[in-house]
Amino acid sequence: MLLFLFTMVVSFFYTPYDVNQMRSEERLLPPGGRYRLGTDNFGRDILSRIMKGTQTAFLVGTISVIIGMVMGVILGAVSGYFGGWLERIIMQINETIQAFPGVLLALMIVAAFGPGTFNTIIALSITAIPGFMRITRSGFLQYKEYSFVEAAETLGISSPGIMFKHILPNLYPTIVVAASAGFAGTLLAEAGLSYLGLGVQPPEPSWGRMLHEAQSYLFKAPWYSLAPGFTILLSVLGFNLLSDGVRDLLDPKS
Amino acid sequence: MSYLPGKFLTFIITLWLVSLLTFAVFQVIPGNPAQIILGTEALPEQIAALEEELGLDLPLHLRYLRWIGGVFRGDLGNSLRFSQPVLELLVNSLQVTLPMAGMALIFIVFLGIPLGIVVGRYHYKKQGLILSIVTQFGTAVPSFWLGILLMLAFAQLLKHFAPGTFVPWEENWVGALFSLFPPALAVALPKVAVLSRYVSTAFVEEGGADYIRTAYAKGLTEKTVLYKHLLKNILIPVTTVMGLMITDILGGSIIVEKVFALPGIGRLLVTAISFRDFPLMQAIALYLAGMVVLINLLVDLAYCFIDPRIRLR
Repeated sequence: MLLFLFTMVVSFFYTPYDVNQMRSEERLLPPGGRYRLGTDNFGRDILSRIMKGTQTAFLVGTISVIIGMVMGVILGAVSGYFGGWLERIIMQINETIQAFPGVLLALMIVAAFGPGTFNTIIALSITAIPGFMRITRSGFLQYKEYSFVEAAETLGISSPGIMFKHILPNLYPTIVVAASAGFAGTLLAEAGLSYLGLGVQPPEPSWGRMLHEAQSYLFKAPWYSLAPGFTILLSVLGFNLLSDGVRDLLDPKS
Repeated sequence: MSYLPGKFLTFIITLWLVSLLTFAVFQVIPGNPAQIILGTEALPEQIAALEEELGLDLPLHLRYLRWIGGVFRGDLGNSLRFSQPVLELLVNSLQVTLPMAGMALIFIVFLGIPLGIVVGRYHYKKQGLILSIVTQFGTAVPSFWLGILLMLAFAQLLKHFAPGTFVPWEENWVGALFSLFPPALAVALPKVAVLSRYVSTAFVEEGGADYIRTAYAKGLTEKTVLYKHLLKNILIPVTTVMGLMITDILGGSIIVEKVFALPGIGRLLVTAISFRDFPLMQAIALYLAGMVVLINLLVDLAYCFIDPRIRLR
């Protein structure tokens, strides 16, 4: 995870070679030598492209998770705190969104609005909403019975005040855990969409896109498909572990 | 509202909303379908005639009613790209996707649950830790990358395996099964890891419960305790995860099919999107989402069988 962030920061200032520079005489070179991870079918340095791809992944991941989190938390808080018909409607919307497997929802949005980084973010944000909504709602259902909430109500504090100042801070840890896991999921989804050619568009480097290109040269240059694949694997693993770690820290049972 | 009728009501409402959403999303697609079919050199009269035939001149709500009416009659319209009934295309590609999904599900259940039990039993030992690290990695593997790797591995191991070819069922059903094996494995393995982690966690948590100690105290063998008492009690969380997983399989197979160039529903969907073939897209989206809603209902029904108390809530 730290490696991921470190690589991303470094890639802003430095990549070993120009990300998009093509050298036709140096195509599909194996790893080692001047190019640490070899070169791709256009003679571009794979390591540089992977480093630059970190930025894309981080941008898409962070924005999607933040939008999904804000929407999910608001919807979850409202439905958990107020209950009643409002809750029923929100739950029904939630149920409907969840009926579409993440990839399908993203594909539908891409089909309607065209491929590209921005639409990928929109699609992944919507996919992220139900998860956050569920945990926020269950948290609110639990906390609204507590006496500190009753006390706050007696003091005449407004509902939004109670919801966001008094109840929500109790849920921060759970939400952070979900956000970290959600980030890992978003990384995977973005890679998948870009692999299909419907996510991030070339020439912007994306790990999924690199895998797509690498597959055509699978037997000629197997290293080309290994590098982006391992990068995705390790990044997702990093954020999964982060989420597990935070959860264990907060869980008094373990 | 009591449990079962409530679930059925949610099922119907969700299905309706899903159809509405599917319809709505594809209405905002830029470009006139009639224009796409006829090409840029079509005369305005031709376009108008085709628009009328497709019902594009009708107001939105009538178009929806027309479409949904067709769905109930089994008439999903014609594909713009393939000039074939959508239903036919859908049925053809399901012959590839459904067996693959089924195969993946079999792998997940028959590898994931036993693996989880093993990890759970050896939780405090070195073997458990190693297996747990392996499954941790497993959950992070992108299934389409795994597909690419499996393709490489199978091609190296078995010289006659030609990756990216599907043998039709009528031709040779063994060959068909064989060509579905690597993609099913690619879809299944990350999920095997996820399921086994759920099972092992539930296993460790339940392992300290009083009824387990009682069962041991009664002098029952470890096997009986594990499979008769413990497994039954972790079935509810496992069923929940399985339900979510089937959704994931449906979504995940879209990408993996593309890796292996299988003529399944995923490839059909990607083609439909690339060619802006909206009747086809609508039908596939409705089918996939409908399946998910149905599976959710089945999971809710399964809860009743596993734990009859739920019905009374």
